[in-house]
Amino acid sequence: MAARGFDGVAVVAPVTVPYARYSEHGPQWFLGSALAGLLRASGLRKEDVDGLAAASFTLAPDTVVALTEYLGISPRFIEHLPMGGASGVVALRRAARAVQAGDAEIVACIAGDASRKGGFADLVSNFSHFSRECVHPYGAGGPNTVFAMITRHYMDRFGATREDFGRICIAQRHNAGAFEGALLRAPLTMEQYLAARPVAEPLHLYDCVMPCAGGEGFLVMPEDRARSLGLPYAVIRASGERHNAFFEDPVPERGGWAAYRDALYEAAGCGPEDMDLVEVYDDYPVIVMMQLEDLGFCAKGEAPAFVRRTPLTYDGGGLPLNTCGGQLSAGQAGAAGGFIGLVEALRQLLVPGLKHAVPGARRALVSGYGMVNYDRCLCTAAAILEKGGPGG
Amino acid sequence: MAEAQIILPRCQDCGAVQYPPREVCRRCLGASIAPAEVDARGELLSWTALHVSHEPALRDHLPWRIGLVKLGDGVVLYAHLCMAEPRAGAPVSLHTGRDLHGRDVFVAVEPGGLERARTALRPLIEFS
Repeated sequence: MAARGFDGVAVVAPVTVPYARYSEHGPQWFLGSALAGLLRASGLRKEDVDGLAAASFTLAPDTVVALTEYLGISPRFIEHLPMGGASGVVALRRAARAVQAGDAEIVACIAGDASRKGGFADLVSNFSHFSRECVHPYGAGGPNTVFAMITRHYMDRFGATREDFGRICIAQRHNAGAFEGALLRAPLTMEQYLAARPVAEPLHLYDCVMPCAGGEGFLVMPEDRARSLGLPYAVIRASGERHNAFFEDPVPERGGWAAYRDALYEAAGCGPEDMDLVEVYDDYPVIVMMQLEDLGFCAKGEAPAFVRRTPLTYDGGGLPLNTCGGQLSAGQAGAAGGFIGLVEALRQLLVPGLKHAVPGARRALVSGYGMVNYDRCLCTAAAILEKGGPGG
Repeated sequence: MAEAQIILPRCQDCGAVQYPPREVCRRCLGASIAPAEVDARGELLSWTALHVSHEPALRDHLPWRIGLVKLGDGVVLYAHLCMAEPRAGAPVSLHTGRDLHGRDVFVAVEPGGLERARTALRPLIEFS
C-alpha cells in the first residue's frame, strides 16, 4: 500500500544557530537557541508550540523529554530522533504526520550539539554496542575507519579516484565561501586537497568533516496556518525512509534510498532532472556519490563521471549541491548535521537575497544518512520540497 | 587448535554465525547462541591504514593497517591486518590474538602468514 501524501502541511522558518569549532555552552543552549530563533522567525509565542521533535547526541543521558522541562514548554506531541544524519528528514516526516493527524498544530523540529575539547573522542568511543566491541579495539575510533573501508571499496569497484572525491569537496568549499555561517570558507584547490595529510587511507583531511557545535531548526504546521501567519513556506511533495537496507551487501555500495527512489519520484510527480538543488548527507564524499546514484542523478558507479562533467557549485549552472558548504565546509554540529541540508534547502526556497542563492530555486531534494552502528550507517531518509503558496 | 578455525558465536537452531556477537540470531531470531569453531578462511573486502588512532599503544606504530574480512558464512569482521600487499579479493585467514588490554582481537594474514604476524605485531598482539 502506498503511503499517504503530505497534503496540507507547511514547512517554515529555517533557522541556524551559528556554528563554533569549540564552545563552552551545553547542548541545551544550542537547542534552546534554535527554538528561540524559530519563534523570532515566525512571530509565534512559546505557548503556541505544541509539538517538539529533537535530535542531539550530547544531550544524553537526557532526551527530548528532559528538554520540555528545560525549555519550559508543555507539548502534546514529542519525538526523540536518534537517527543522526537522517534525523532532519525523519523529524520532518514525523512532524508532518502529527500535523495531518491533528496530534499537534505547531511542531518545532530542532537539533543541536555541544563541542567541548575531547568531547568528540568520548562520543565516538561509545557510539554503539557493536562498534565498541568490534571496531574500537582495532584502534579505529569513530567513523573514519568505516568510511575508509567503504571508500576504498567504491574506488576498487567503480574506478573512482581521489580527484573525483576532491571535486565534491572543492565545490562545497566554493559554496561555503558565499555562506557566512560556514566555519571553513577559504577556497580549497585540488593541489591542497591531494596534498592533505592522510587520516585513514584512502581518506585524507579534506574528506573528513570537522566536528563543531551548533544548532538547526524549522517549523512544521498546517498550510492554512502558515498562510494566515503570512509566512513563506515549503510543501513536501514526497518523502521516504528506510533503515538497515541491503544488509546483505558485504560492503555497502548503495543505501536505503535505492529502495524507495522510484516511489519518491512517482509520488512527487517529477524526477531528478526537475530538482533546482540537492542537499545530500556529506559525512564523506563517497556517500555523496552514493546518494547521487541511488537518488537517480546517474547510474550506479557513474557518480565519478557525473561529478567530472557537472558543476556542483551554487552558481555553476550544473547541479547545485550542498549549497551552504555542507558539513564538509560548514562543520558537523553533531546531530544538527542531520538537519543542515533540510534547513539549507528551506533557506534557498524561502529566504530572498541570499549571497549563495540558487537563482529561481523552487524545488529541492534533501537526503539524510545516519548512524554508524558497525560497518555502515543504517538510517536513510529523503524528501522533495517545493516552494508553496502563491507564486510557489 | 587447527590453524584455519576461529571461535565465533553460532545459532544452535539454524547454524548462522553471529558477528558482531548477538544473543539472538540475526537470521531466525533463535535465542540459543553458543561458541563454535568456524572456518577462519575468508576474503579481504577492503582495508585501511590508520594515520590517527585513539589507541595510545598504536601511536608509535602508525600507519596501522586494519582489514575488513568476509568469512564463508557471510559475516564481515574488522581485523588487524598483517599482509605485505593488501588488495581486495585476496584470500586471508583470521587468527585470534590478545592485545595489550587483554582483549581477544582478530588478525588477518595471508595464507601461511601467521609466523610473520607473530614477529611483526609483537609486543602489541600476542598469539597463544
